[in-house]
Amino acid sequence: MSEKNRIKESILKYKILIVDDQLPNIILLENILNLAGFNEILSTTDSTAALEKIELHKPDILLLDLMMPRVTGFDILAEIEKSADSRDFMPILVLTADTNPKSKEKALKLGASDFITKPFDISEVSLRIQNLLTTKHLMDQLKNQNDHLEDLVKIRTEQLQTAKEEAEKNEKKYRLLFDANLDDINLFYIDQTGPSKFIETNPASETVLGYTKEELLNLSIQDIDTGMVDSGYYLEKIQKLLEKGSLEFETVIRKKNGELRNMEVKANVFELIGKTAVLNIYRDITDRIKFIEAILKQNRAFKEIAWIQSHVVRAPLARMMGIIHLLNDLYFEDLNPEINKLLKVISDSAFELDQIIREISEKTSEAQKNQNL
Amino acid sequence: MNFDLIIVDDDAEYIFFHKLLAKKSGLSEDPLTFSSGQEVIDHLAAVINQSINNTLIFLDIYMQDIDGWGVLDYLQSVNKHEKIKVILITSSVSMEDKRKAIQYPSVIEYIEKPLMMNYLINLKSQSIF
Repeated sequence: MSEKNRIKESILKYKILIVDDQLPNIILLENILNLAGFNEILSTTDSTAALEKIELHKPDILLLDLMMPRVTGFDILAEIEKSADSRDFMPILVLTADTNPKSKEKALKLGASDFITKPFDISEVSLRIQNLLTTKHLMDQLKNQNDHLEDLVKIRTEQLQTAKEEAEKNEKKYRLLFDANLDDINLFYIDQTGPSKFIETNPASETVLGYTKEELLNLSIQDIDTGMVDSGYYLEKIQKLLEKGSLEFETVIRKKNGELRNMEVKANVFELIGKTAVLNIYRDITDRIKFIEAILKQNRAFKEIAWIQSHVVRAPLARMMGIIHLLNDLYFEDLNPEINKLLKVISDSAFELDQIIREISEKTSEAQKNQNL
Repeated sequence: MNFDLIIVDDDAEYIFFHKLLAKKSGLSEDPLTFSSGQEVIDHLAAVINQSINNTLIFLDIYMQDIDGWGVLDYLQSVNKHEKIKVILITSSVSMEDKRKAIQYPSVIEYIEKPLMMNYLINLKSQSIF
């Protein structure tokens, strides 16, 4: 079925309301419309009931006589005009014997769509009604499509808004992580010519490297990493980084004030607007290294004390113990009981001391083992 | 006894004490004594290629210059484990030293000071060589 026929079929189902105080006119119009194929035709001769019927039946088109007693066609037009926004488009075909252009103009201003002049020309009435209904059909269709589009736009706008808010929230979160990080985090590009200047850094650069963000964006790792004096250093690191995607290593950084600091570096490589970028995280481990050295030194001292305990202190003690034993084995029987008793006290004390030295030595040895683990 | 006794210690009092114990226990009437690793190595080097008697050494570990480990390394290099045997007598109570000592084939015993009379009396009844 062609589009034109489909429209014609649709409009024949439309509801038509006729308001005319002259019954013969109504009968004539109903006959014309019936012949044209319309079935849903309502009519009234009582103009005072017109608005009520419009409200009740919601006709698709109104055929309205202007010259009626009490409530005229103009009055009805004016009332409809007032509430026009809230309902679907309802074309109004004005039926009038008055050919005065002034009243036509007045009717048009009040919202009339078209005119039919009495007496009616049968084919003209049918044609005009069909034209108006075709227009209504198309307008309703357009309105539906617009409503649908509007809904789509509304949904899509909401989705975009949600996505935008989500992205903003994430951006805020990551920005906070970035800014609040105590390690210096900076970014730069790499290509065949080497590393670019830094393109981004967080506030920690001031404490870790001694450079403000503005200063750092004018520098590259050439200016801060002392390893860069060795030409193989950069190439080796970049090659490993590109192979694995990330790399951890230690290096010595020259801070803005010239101070050299040991840094642990975590490097990651990724794509940023079509270029290869490196994100470096610098952690100052100078103090950590110092602490470890201090602990190792302390452990060496500890070991030395243990050795002194187990050997140097114990040597004279063992001498005493050996001699007391010898005396005990060979001569004690001849001594008087009092001296015997005193020698026993010396012997017990020496063994007690020996036990203490052994315990200290054992504990130090344990500590040593734990450190080696 | 079927062996000569050598006492090595850098502490003169221990030499006196161990010599006394050796005599009293009947292990040796006249042990040779040395106060450093170098001295005992020199002595052994002089006699090692002659028909050396069975020799038992009471060896201290911690001494100045060449210590007990140095003497053990020397004995390992001359490889006369059948003829020369060592009892380590040390004031060290370290397990590490004990573990290290038993790696040497010439070491037959590791004793923490003090050396006891009873131990030497028992030793007499064992066949060391």
